[in-house]
Amino acid sequence: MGHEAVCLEGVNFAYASWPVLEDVSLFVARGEYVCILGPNGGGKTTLLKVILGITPPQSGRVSLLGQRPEQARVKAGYMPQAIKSDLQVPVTAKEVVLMGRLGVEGGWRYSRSDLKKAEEVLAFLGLEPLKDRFFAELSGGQRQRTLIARALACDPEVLILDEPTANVDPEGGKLLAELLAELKGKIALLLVTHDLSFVSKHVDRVFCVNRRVVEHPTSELDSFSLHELYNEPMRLVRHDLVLGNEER
Amino acid sequence: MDLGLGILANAFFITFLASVSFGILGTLVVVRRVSSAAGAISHSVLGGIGIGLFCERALGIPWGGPLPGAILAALVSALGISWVSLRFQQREDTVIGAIWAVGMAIGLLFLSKTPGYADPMSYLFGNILLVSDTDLFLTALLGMAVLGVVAPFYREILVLCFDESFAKVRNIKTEMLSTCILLLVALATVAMLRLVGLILVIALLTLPAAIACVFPMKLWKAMIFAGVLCLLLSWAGIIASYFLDLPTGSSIAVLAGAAYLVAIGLKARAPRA
Repeated sequence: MGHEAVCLEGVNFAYASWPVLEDVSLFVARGEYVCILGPNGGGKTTLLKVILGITPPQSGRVSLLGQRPEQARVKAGYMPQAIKSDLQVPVTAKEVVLMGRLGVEGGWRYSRSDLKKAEEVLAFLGLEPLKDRFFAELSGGQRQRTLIARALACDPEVLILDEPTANVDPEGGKLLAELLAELKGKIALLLVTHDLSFVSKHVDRVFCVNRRVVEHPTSELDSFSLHELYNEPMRLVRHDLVLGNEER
Repeated sequence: MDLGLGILANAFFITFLASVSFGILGTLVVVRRVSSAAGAISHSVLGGIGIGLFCERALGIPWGGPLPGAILAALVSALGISWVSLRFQQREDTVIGAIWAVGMAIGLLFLSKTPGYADPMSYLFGNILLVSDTDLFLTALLGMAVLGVVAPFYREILVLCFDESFAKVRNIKTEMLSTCILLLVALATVAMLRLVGLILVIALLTLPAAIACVFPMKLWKAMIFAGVLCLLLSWAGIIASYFLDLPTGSSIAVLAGAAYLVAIGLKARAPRA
């Protein structure tokens, strides 16, 4: 099989007559770690949904792992924004993680290997003691970790995370960065964020989404390109210094 | 001919059968927040009843009658609401309101042109005297259909409720599943029409489930708990209405509402763990 994880060619997407994505082409190889930046409402989440075949584009070609998104998406680990999940639904952390196993094997019930994998991922993310808690009772950071665990539960070949650092304390953000650095090279990582401190040295490439998609080499991501992206003067804040990160 | 006791026994039996589907579907309605859709469906049933009676009595169509009309109207409204919510989500609220009111209006128009005596009140608020063997049979059938859909697809339904876009990525047919649930809800409202009436049926569907959802428990436990509550509340309502000479449907609805208030009160007083 080819080495492509995600490939978009000339994709256009509009809600009613409101264009959200225009002539978007991008290519992400297997094993690459890619960040997707952009202002709110710029189309970041829509881009992920197009990649996963949740919202089919009006025109253009989308492929995931060399196949149509509908065929390949069970091999994708997806973490939607945490706020999209319904807190009124009584589900435990373990039940949430098990959702990631749906479609991996057939059958009416979760198999022994499904349960084993879920336990593994829970332990990997330090959620073992919380697994029987209800999702609504967890803190913002714990919820986020549960959703990441769910995304990892299907042994994904592509991991797609939508705003994984929202509502997460700096400590949690650091843990996530370490986790992603560990996964890098093994599977493709697509991460949507508006948290610029997350664009670490591990990130291979950065795409900026604001209706159109522009690629920036990471070195170029300075206040000039930020200005261009957000259309207002912005200043880079070195979070890593504040947090005492080892990034220097 | 049965007197008094036979009617009561029928009422007890139909609530027993209906509690299976009401516990399960009510919990899904509450958790998915589609109470207003369920309300619109149950009210629009009057349209079907009116047309059904009109067909039977004015046009002499043999397969007419209130029950086939009610079932058809419930299914059509459920499909309509489902279609709108999938395709034009922003309009969902408006369409639900329209189906609610227009469905009832159509029913009253047809009833007014139906020869002979047709009392809308007994359809609106139920009449314990009208529960028939056909209702019992259909309610049992519905219970089996609900179990037949929800038991094998429990995991899929759980994801659908919690996080629809994730469900899509797991290749779950979310649109079909949510339409299926709404169709079953539509049939459930028809099943209890005779006993509690189409206006009050929504109370029996959602309040036991809402009580169950006040307390943290897994979804399947909430379904069982809601079913048991539905049974106890309706039996209590039937008994109260028998001894106090009150309308059955209203007694059940008021009891369910009171129980919900008590549950919320208990929850508010309980110390947080």
